[in-house]
Amino acid sequence: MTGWIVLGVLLLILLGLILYVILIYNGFVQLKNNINRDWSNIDVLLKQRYDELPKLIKVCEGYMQHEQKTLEAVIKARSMAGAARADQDRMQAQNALSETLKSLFMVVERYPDLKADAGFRQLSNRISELEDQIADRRELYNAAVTIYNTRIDQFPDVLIARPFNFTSRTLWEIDPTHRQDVDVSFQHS
Amino acid sequence: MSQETLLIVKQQSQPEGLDALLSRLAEEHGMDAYACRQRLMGQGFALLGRGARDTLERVSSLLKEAQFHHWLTTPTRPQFAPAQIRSLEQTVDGIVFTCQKKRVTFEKGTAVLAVLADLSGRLADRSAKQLISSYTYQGRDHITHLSEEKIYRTIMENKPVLDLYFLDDRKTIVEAVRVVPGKFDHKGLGERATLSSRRNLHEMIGLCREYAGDFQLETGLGLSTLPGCALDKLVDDNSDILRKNLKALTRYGWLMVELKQQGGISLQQEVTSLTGSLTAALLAQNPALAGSEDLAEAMPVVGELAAEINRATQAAASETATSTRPPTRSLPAPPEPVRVRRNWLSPKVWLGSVGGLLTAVVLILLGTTDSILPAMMHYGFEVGAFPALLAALMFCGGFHYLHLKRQVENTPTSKVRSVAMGMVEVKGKAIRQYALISPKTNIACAWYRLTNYRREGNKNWVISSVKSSETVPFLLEDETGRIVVDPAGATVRAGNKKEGFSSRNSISLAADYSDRNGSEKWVEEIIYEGTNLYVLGFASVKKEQGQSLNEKKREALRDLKRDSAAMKRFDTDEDGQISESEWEEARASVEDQVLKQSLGKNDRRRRQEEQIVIVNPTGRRPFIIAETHCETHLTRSFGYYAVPLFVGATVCTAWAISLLFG
Repeated sequence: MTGWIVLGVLLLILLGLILYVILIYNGFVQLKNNINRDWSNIDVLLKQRYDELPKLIKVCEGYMQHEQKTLEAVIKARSMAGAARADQDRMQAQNALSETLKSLFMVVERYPDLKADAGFRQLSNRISELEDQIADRRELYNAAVTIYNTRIDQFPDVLIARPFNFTSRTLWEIDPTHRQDVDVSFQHS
Repeated sequence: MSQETLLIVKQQSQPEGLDALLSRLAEEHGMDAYACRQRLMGQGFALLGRGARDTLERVSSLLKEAQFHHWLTTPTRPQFAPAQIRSLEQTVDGIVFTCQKKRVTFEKGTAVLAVLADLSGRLADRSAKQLISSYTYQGRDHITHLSEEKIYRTIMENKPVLDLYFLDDRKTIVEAVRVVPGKFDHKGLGERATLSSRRNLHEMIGLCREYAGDFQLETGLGLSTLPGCALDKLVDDNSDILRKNLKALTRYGWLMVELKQQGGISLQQEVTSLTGSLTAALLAQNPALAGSEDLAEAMPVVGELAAEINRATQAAASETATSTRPPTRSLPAPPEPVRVRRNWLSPKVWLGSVGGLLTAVVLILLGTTDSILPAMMHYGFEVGAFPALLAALMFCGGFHYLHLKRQVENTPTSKVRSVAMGMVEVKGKAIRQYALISPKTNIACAWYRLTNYRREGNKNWVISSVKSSETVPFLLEDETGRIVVDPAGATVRAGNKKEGFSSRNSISLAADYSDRNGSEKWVEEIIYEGTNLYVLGFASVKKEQGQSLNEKKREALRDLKRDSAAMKRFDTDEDGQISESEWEEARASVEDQVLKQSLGKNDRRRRQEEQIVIVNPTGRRPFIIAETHCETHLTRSFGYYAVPLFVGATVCTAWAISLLFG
């Protein structure tokens, strides 16, 4: 009789283990899909920003004849962002675009007429809003990737992750040069 | 030994920069921020501190910066109590009041400080109710105090008493009288006399105002927290309480006169000192005028300039007072609960029905109704079916909690500003979207669930009904914005639970234990406004209200078709017919116009709370609303539920096997 009880309990534990493995596996699938979804959600905003940029450049061109370099940099960065295909390239291209936009908004400070333009204000607000949302979603993406990468390296999840080939994903990191201190100079050339 | 100095402040309803002031009071003077907040916010006067004058002067400078009217005073004991009047007589030069032992003459043009108070002590209750109701219906950021008119009316409706202090040029008390409605001969009011004692008191105030040179009416007793000025609630006209309250009224009157003597370090005082500084500056430039006694006469320009500054400053002060008042937010009433109709085609209903039918068939096959119970006992316990069933249920329960734990752990937290459609996890503070209050404790809340119990037998409580606010959405606010949460179908873990043993509603904030041995009990789970919430649910777009852009376009095109004059504008070849190309042009023009109109109306982008709502996800995905300060606490609690369930399942399995083979 004791043997039957032991057998029964062992069977229950085995069943529990199988279900636990399924739970972990499904968890990985969900995490992987979450990461893909978060990435796609960033894409939605990037596309919106991509579509808004020509309008902004058009408004700026009328006022900023002497800042052709800055505007060209934005146009070039936009084209690169549109052409990038691999995840890593796209991340880098989008980072570069964000940086050129920052430069553009800094340069705009010298053009009070442009700053007063209602169309420019609306577009710049919209792009700033999109930038904020992109930053939020980038954080979310990184959080999802971190959870996933932690899970696949943790015990006992690692025992399921390895055989089923769940590999780690890349975080969206900023360009290392942007970690350096900003050199502020008030001397006009 | 030096006498103790009191620091008295005039409370403000919505003081600006209060948090900064409180932190400075706490840091620089070690004062308790919570106590200070209580003393500084309100409608009356409050004692902020007492002690050595030099210490209080340093606190005073902070209050001055924060524009709080305040006084540093060393109070003296009242030298006499106002004499109660029996009658009055109006003369050309003033009013003569006849009291029991003396006659007091109030000469025309005398400065008067009138203190009107409600001796029943109900003004404080009324004020508290006003605060609770404004908090409930307008939210925590828009609490409104009783208006001056309401204070006056409340005093008049209860037990009003009027003290009149007649002051000389140095603002010291010359005489004082007390007017108790119904206790004086009202004929002396002349044409003002009425048959209502309270109306006569009102007319008395009007009469004194008419005769006085400077008339000031104080109605703050009962709302103030000053030493020796607290009013007790009058029950059954208890003479001891009445006497005590009259003493408090006298003390309050004398203290008010003292504050009036000081004039206060108020905004007006600032103006006076500004005028003084200006005068001093001009005198410095023109020392010949320094000896002049009457500056206004000696320097009319200074007088005019000072008056101009006074007017400008007062205008600025009044403008600031009106402009800084926050707009009142009146929350709409909660929507009516929607009756959920049972969906007879849903799998749950079918499974339940089929399961019930099968059980009934099995029971019938097992034998007659008399033998059902023994048969169930036999198969349940002798064969081990019941423990096996219990083990299965516990096992499923354990996995359910484990699944929830992992689901919460695996979902990263989104910011409200950038929430995307789909399963999301957000954290923030609960804010009411509707004026929702809990039904038993009457507290402003974002969500509640009321469970009523009925006593069965001697001990057991059985649930008799459950009511919740699941049809009332609320807002979740984080540092980036707000989003609507529709709690219908959510697993809610509220942090606050109130219990009462009476079926009566209670206005008090504490649970009602007065009927502990009764046959009814209620338990109210509440999520207060402002508490930290964790929400895991499905973000979706709100159903569009009003016409969509396409509908607007269609309607505009229909209108265009009906308007022949407008159609003619598009008939470019003027053949009286609208060709296909002309119609295309007309359509493009109308669409453009509608789009412009639409953008013109909504030039701002819609906020998250206007377009996204977190709802119950479809399928087996969880919808959790939990009052918790951190996510780990929540996941740990799921773990704590899962472990005993697994242990229980193992024990029940062993039991079932032992019964089966035993």
